[in-house]
Amino acid sequence: MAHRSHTLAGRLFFWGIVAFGVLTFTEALFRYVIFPEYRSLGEDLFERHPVIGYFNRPDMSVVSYSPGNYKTAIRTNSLGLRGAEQTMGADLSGVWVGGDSNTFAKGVAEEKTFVRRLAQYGYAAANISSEGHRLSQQALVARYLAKSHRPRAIVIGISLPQAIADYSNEFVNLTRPLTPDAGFAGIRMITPRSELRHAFSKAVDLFPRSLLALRARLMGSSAIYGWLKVGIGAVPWAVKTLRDSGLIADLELTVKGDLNLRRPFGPQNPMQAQVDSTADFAKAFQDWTRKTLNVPFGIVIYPTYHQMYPEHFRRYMKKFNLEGEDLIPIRSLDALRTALQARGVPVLDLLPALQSSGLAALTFPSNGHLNANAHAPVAKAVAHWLESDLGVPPVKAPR
Amino acid sequence: MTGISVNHIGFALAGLTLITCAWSPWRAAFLPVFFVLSLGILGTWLRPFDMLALGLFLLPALLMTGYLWGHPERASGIVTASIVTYLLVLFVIFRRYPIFDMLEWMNHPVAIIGLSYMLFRVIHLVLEAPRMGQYPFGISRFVAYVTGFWTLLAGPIQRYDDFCTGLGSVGRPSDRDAVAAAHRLVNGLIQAFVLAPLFVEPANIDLLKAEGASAVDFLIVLYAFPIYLYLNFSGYTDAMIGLAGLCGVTTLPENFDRPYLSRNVQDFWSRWHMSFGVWIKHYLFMPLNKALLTRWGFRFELPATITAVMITFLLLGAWHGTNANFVVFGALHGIAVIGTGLYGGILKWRLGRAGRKAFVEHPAVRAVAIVLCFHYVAMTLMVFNNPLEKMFQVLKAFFG
Repeated sequence: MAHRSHTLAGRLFFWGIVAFGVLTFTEALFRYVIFPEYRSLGEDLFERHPVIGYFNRPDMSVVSYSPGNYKTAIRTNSLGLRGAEQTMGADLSGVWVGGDSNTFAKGVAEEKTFVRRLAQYGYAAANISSEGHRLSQQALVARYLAKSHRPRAIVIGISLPQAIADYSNEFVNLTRPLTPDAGFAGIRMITPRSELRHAFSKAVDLFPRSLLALRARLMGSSAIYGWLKVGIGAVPWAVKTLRDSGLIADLELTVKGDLNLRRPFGPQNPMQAQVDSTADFAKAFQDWTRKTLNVPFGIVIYPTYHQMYPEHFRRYMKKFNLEGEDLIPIRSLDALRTALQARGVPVLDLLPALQSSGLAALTFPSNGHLNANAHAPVAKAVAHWLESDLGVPPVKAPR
Repeated sequence: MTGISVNHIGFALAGLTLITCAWSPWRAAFLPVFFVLSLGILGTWLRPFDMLALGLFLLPALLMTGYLWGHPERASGIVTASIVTYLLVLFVIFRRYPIFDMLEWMNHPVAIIGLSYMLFRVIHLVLEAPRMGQYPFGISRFVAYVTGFWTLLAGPIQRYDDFCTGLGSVGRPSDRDAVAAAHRLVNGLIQAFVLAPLFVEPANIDLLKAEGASAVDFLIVLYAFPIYLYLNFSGYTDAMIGLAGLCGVTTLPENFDRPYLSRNVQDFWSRWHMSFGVWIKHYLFMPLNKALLTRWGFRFELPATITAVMITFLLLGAWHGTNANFVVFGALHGIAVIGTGLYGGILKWRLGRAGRKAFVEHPAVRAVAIVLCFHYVAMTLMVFNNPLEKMFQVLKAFFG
C-alpha cells in the first residue's frame, strides 16, 4: 500500500515530517559531534544551602559558557568555594574574599581571577563569593565558615548598583542561630498534596510563555541553540545585528537600578536611605568580624559599566531623552564610599585602578562584569590596599 | 519531562528512518532497516555480556522454530516442552528470581531490557511454528519480530502472523490515515512523557509519613500511581501504534480499552494490557485449565478452574517483578477474579440468567461496580508499587 498525496495538506504533512527528521538528525549531530558541551549551558551552578540559603554547588567541575562564548572551567571544593580542594585549608587560613558575581567571576578562568592572583602578591585567599549574593548573604557565609576556620582578614566585593539596598530586615543574619531555616525545602512539609501542586506548576512551566522563557528552556536542552548562542559571540557583525535589534543586551543602553542613583545625593534623594542602610550593614558586619574573629574587614566596590565609561552613558541619555537631566553615574559610588568611610569601614574604590590600567576593554562585550584582563589591576590594587589600609602584610615565601 | 534525552532523540531518529523508508520507493527494504534499527537500539542498552546472554536465550529458540516451521509432524510434546522449559529456566535465571538466583556471584549480572516481552513472543513462535508454514520465516524476520524496537519495552504483544501481515502493508498511508496516526503518536507522547510524570512523586507512599498528612493525601497516593501507570503505559502504546500506522502497519494490537471503567477485575483484565491478557489466556490459563480438568475429571470443574486461575495470576504477578509484592498483587487479582465468577454464579442462581443480566447492567449497579473495581485495582497497585514491609509500616503509622 502506498499513497502519493495530491492535496496541499498531505504535501505539507509530508514535508513537515521531513523537516522534523532533519531537525532531529541535526540535533543529534550537534549533541554528539559538534557541540557535546551543550549541557553546561543549562547547568545550574547553585543549590539550596540549609544555612546560607543559596550557595555554589560543592565539588563541582563544570564548563561554563557564560557570558557568551567565554568557555571557562568552574570548579568548587567540598564547601562550595571556587577553587581546588587541595588548597582549601591554606586558602581559608588566608584572606576571605567574598562578594557577588564579580568576585565569583564565572567567565574568568580560575587562575586569572583577582582572588587567585593575590597569591602573586603574597596573599593566600579563599573565594567565598556566590553569584547574586548581597552583603547580608555573605555575612551568613562568613559566619558559617567561621565555625571551623579563621581568616587573616575579610574583604567583601560589592557591585553597584545592586549592592545598594534596604538592609533593615537583614541585620538578623548577623545574629540568628545558624540552623536550617524553616522556609527551606530541606525541612519543609512535603506531602502528596504539595507534590501534586509542585508537579502541576512545573508542568505549566514546560510551555514557555515568553521569549526569555523559551530561551531558558532551550538552554542546556538543545545543542543547536547552545552552539548558535555561543558561536554567534565570535561573529562581530552577527553580534552587532542582534544588539541593534534588541535581541541581546547593549551594555551602553542597559542601566540597572533607580535613576536617582545618578542624581545628587542628600536628604532629598530617596536612594540616600538605601546608601545609608548599606553602609550601616557593612559597619555591623565589620563589628561582628572584629568581635568574633578579631581580624580586619573591608569593602571593595566594583564600579558599573557606565561609571567606567561615562561617555557611553551619554548615548543612553540621548536614547531615552534624558539629555538636560542632572544624571552622573559616578554619584552612587561616591555616595557609598563616603558613607562607608564616615562609619570607619575601610573601602577600596576600584575605579581609579581600572581607569589607570590602560586596558581598552574592562568588561565582557555584552556583560558588565570585569573580564580576565581587568582582574590583574584589581588584584594589584587589592593587594596594596590589604597592606596599607587593612594592615595585613603579605606572607613572604620562605627562602 | 525534564528535557530531551539521548533515548528520545534515538527513538525519534529510528522512527523517522522507518517512516522515510516506508514512504519511499525503497519500502521493500523496510524489514532490513527495521532489523538493523532494532538491533542497534538494543545494542546501545546491552553490554557485550548481555548480548551473549541474549544470544543464549534466542539462538535455541530460533533453531527450534526453524525446525518446526510448517512441520506439524515434528511438533512432539517433548520437543516443544523442552524448548519452552529451557526458555523459562533462562528467564528465571536472568531475571534473578530470589529462590533461583544463580547469578549472585557475578558483580554485574545480566540485564536484558525487554526480556519479559521477548519471552512471550518467542514462546508464541515456538508453539505456533508448526501451523505457520504459510508465513515467511528467517533470521531477520525472527530477530525483527522478537526485538522490534517499537514493541520491545512495553509491548503490545503482537502475533507473528499479524507482524507478517503488517510488513506486507508497509507504505505511505492515505492522508487521512497518516494524520490519524500522527495524532495518535503525538497524543501518546504527551500522555507518556508530559502528563504521566506529574503523578510520579505524588504516588510516593513515604509522603504519608509527613506530619499533617491527611485523608486527602492518602487518596492522592492511592490514585496517583494508577493514573501514572495508565498514562505512561497506554501513552507509550498509542505512540508506537501511531508510529507503526505512519509506516502503513496497522496490525499492532490495541492494548487498552478504558480499563478503569471495568465493572470487575475479570473485566479489568479484558481491558488492561489486552495483548498480554490474550497471551496469558491462550498459552497459560486454557492449557492449564484443560490439563487439570483432564487429570481431575469434570466433577472437579470448579476446583480445577479456581486452581488454574490462581496459578495463572500468581505467575502473572511474578512475571511483573521478582519481589514478593508482585506475587501478592497477582494473588489479589486471582482472588478477585474467582470472587467475580462465584458472585456471578450466585446471581444467576438467585435471579436467573435474564435477571442477572438486568441487574448487572442497571446504571446504578454498574456505577457502583466501576467505583468498587477501580478502588480495588488502585489498592492492589499500591501493593504492586511498594515493598510489602514498607507499605505495611507506612500505612500502620498513618492509620494507626
